[in-house]
Amino acid sequence: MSGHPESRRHAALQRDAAVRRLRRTTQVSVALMVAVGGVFAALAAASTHLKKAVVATSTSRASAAAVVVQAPAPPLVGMQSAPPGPSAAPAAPAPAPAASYQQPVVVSGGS
Amino acid sequence: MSDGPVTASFPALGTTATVAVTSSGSLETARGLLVEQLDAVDLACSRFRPDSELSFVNAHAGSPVLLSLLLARAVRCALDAARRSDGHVDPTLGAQLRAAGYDRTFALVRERDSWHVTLPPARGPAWADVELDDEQRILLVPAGIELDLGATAKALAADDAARTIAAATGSGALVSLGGDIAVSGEAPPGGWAIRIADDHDAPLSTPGPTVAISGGGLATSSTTVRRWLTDEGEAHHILDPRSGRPAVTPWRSVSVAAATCVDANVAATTAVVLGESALGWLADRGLPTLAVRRDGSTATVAGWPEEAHAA
Repeated sequence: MSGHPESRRHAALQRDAAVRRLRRTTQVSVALMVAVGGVFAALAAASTHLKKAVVATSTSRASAAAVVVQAPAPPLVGMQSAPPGPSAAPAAPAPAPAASYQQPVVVSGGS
Repeated sequence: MSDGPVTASFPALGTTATVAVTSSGSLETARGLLVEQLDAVDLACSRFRPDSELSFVNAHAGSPVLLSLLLARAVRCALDAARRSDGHVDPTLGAQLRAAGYDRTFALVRERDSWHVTLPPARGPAWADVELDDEQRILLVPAGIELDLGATAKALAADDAARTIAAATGSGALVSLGGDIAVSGEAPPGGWAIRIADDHDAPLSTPGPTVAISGGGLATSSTTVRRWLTDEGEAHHILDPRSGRPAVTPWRSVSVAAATCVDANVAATTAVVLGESALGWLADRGLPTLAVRRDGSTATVAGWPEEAHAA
C-alpha cells in the first residue's frame, strides 16, 4: 500500500481517535450494566420482604426464617385452655369398666 | 341429684352429639357449652368445610401456617396419636380418604351410587414429616399431603367438653360424639352405663353388653357403619396407612376403655388396622377391650368384663 505521508499520518490519527472512542464507550456501557443490575436486584429484594411477615424461631425447622400465612381462626372457647388430652401412651382407666345392669345412658358404637 | 342422669342429643360434626349430666338443672348449660365447643371444633378441624382452618392448611401444604390454639392442639394430638400407635392412626391420609370416596360429609357420600377409586401415588408414612412448632403454633405440612383429623379431633373434643362442662356446672358429665365417650366429674352411682353396639345411633334398648365407667373414656371403632359403594366394592373409613386403602380386618367393631377418650379412640382404631395381632398390642398396654369379629365371635382383653358381654 502506498500514499502521501501526510495522508497516512492523518489516517493513523483518525484510527487512534476511533480506538479511544470505542474504549470509552465500552467502559461506560459496563458501568451502566452494573448499575442497572444493582437497581433490579434491590427492587426484587424489596418486593419480597416488604409485603410478608418473616418469623424466625430456634425451636423447629417449621418456623426457621419462613414466610408464614395464617388461616381465619375459630372463636375462642374454654377448651383451648384445657390441659393436653393425650398422654404419652394410651393408658387404661382406673378402674377398668364393670358389668352394668342399669339402663344405659348412651350407646358406644361405630359412627 | 335427680333419679338418674339426664341427656340431650343433637347433630354435630357429621354425627350425633350427646351430653349427659348427673344434675338435671345443669342440662341446658351443659348443652350450650357443648354446642359452642363443637361449633369451634367444626370451624377449625373440618375437612369438608371450605371455610375451615384445616381446609386452609391443606390448601397451603408446603408453606408454614400460623395456627389457632384449637387447631394447634388438635394437630399435636393427631401427631401424638400417630407416634403412639406406631403410625397406624395416621393424620396424613386426607388425600387417600378423598380418593377412596370419602370426599364430603358422610351423609352425601352415602347418597352416591358408586365411586371410581383412583388412589394417589404410593408413598411412605408422612406423619413424621409434619412439623409443628408448639410454642409458635406454626405448622408445616409437606407439599402434596392433606391432613385428616377426623378420628382424634372428635375424641379430643369429647375429652375437652366433658371436662369443661363438669368444671362449669359442678355436675358429673358425659359427652358422646358418635359413640366416642368421655366422662368427667363425679359419676352417678354405679358409674355411667354404656351399651355397646355396632352403631352408636342404635336405640338404648338395642341388644348388647352394658358396661359402666367412672372416669376416662370409652370409644368404639367399627367398619360396619360408615361404608359406601365403590367400583372396587364396599369401602369403609378406617384406612390402613400401609396400603392407603380401607383396612382389611377381621373385626367388625372394637371397643376400648382408657384414661381418655383420645387414648380409647387411638387404641380402638389401631386395633382395627392391626387385625388379630391387636389383641397382643392391647394386652401389652393393659387396655380393657371388647373386639367383635365379622362372624360375631368376640375376644376380650385386659379386664373387659366377660359377664357384661354375656348379659
